[in-house]
Amino acid sequence: MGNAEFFEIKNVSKTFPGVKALDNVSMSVAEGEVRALVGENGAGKSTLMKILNGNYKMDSGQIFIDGKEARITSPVKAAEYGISIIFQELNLVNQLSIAENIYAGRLKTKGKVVDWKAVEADAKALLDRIGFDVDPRTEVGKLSIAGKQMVEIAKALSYKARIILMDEPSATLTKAELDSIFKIIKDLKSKGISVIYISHRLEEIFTICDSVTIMRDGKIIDTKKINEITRDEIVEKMVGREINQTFPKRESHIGEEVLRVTGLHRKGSKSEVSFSLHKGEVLGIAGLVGAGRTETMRALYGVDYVTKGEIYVKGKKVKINSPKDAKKAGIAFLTEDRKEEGLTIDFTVKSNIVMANMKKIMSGIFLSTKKENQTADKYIKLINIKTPSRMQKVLNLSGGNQQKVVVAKWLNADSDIIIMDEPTRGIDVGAKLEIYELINKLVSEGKSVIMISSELPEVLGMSDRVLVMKDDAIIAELTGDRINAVEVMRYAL
Amino acid sequence: MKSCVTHSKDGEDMEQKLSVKKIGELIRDNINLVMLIVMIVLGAIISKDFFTINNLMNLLRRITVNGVMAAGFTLTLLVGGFDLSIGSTLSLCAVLCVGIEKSSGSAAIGMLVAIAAGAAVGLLNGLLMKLTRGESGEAFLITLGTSMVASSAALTYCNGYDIYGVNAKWYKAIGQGNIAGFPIAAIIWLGILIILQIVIKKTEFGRQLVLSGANKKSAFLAGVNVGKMKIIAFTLAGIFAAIAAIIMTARTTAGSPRSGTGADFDAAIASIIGGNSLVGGKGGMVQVFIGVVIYGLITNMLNLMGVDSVVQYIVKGVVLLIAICLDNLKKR
Repeated sequence: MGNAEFFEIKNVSKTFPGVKALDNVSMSVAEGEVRALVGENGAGKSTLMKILNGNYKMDSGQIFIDGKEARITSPVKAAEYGISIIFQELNLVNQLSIAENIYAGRLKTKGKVVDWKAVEADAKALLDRIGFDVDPRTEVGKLSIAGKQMVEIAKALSYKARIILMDEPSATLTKAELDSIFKIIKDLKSKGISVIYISHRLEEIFTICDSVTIMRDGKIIDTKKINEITRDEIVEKMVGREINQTFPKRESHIGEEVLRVTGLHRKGSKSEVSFSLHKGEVLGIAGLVGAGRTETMRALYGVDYVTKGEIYVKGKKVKINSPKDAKKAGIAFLTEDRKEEGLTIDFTVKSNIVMANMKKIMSGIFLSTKKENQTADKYIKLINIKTPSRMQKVLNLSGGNQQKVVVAKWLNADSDIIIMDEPTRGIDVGAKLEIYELINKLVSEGKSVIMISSELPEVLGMSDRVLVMKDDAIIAELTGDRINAVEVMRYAL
Repeated sequence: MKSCVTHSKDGEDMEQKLSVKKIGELIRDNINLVMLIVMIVLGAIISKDFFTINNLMNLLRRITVNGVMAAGFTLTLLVGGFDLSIGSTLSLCAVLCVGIEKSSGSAAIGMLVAIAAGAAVGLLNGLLMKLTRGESGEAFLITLGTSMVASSAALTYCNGYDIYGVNAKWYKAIGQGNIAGFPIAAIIWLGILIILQIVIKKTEFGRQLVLSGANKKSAFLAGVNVGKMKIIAFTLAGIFAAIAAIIMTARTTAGSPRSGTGADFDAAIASIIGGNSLVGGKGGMVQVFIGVVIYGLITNMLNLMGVDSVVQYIVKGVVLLIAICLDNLKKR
């Protein structure tokens, strides 16, 4: 390894309204070093990357490359400084050739026309350099994900990248594809190019990285040589925060089984899932983004296509092919996208509350305005929706109150099993507490809640039982004392 | 305000500003109604015969076909699409209604066939909308396609010639008759509007239809069968095109394969100038009534002024563009 402080980040901070995303972050990477960067969802990795890419402007701090300060103001500038970032959702145009993707925006020309021969020859040379044997005229859309990543790497090299950041490159790769990416990383290393490798998969980090930096809550917690740290130590450092958030207490009265799912397999899933839910229970679903939590619940609710599996509600087998069937079985689904999927945003509070169960407000064959108003008022009072009137458009309510309208809608539908996907996302702290209290109230009344959340403290603080998902499978069921951050992350990673 | 003399002037100003603003908002929110009143006043100024019973009944008779068409069009607008094939469907149903009456000797059979044909075209549109999970963009192309099919089928059926029917007395009465001085066709139209308005506002089905158009994702997740709503709305639009064809042929006692040319646009313009929103889920039959009357008055006035029917489309086009701008203005 060459210059030990080849790439240096000094005291970088970034604040978003209400949250300190990066707090005085400093780290340095040596020339030719492969550095792992790990941390939970929301630890600040993405923010750091976006600063290095020139997408975000840091509030304070400096970045140095080879001792010279780099003022990264735009992605183009970042490339000029030799920083390349390969994002998980690759930035390639499927319809164009490999060569054109690599040189997009700076194609060599002869006079006014593109000199394709030269462009393709240059691309070929780059591809050869990373040992990717493919015709540069191939359409990118025809490549596998790994192939596309190699094109991204070739593109990075074309900018004479000196440091390459890879954001979870392995998430969608097969073992064999991953091996070829690893080979290329080793090759880059031997050429003195540094790599920052962001991944949730700790096994890989031990295979390919020289060192690891652990982030948590916007801070760098530690940096270690890879042979000086164990897997468990990494996990502990990642989750080691004291849980300073308090959750309203409740006494759980868990009754009989109300939902049993056996061997549920949705189209495209890597695995089947089986689990059960009891009366009066809050079942937390933990896991990393992309572990298949939302997708599993969407399948259960009849949104995504289910290939096989059985669902029993209160002991009776039910067939769920659509949300309509799920609703009939007493299942409710509060999606993570409240505004697009949960609400009809420019309709009134009243019409949103009654929309999932209009049978209740019928008198004869017609809807009764009186009953509709009564129903709306009942729920506005019952769960304390702060709205000037039932005629207010939900668009004008705060996030927390919008979420309450969604809850009201499902309470009105007499749902006993309530699936909540990220119920407190984008809601301020006070309103979060109210949602937690609402969840407690629901289960105390004998309803059952399945809660998906990426906020670990929330899952830990609210759940009677936690299922951990990874790669579309439920890999652990935690109860009692085992519901703690270290256990969850041990399985989730 | 009155307790403090020095401030009273400011206070009054503010009050006045507030009320001006309120009136402004009121006008903006009811711009379509205002347009209607302006048109009526204009009509009265232009022609002193305007407010005669004769002229008003005549006007009603003239706008009925477009009125029925616009009712159907609005249903497809509400569900989150729109149907531009209803003009061709009108042509097809017109020639079928008269042609089958002629060949079978029964007006009832002719009408049934026409309604079945209209329903079939609408059903096809609806099925394709469901299949493509379509919104406005798909609706445009799908109904363009079915409109070509229907219009060609109409021309093929009658070899491009107008068909003259036998015209049973009761059949003619639908288009030409009166009950207590009121045109039967207009009674049918207003009946349709009232029933549809009640269905939209007061039944579960109507509410689900509107929800599907307003936000198909949240409607679907709330257990609404959005695909079914589309099928029903488009099928009804086809059926209303057939009813419009029956009324039209009853009035003219002939079926022309070109009678529906432009009728789809007339219905669309009327629906939108009445205040139905281009984004689904907003509007209803009151708006249809207002729009159809405004549009009828424009046509009536242009006719009174002797403007050539080809030139009239310039005016109507401009009116549509204004209506679209107004629709956007309301959202602000």
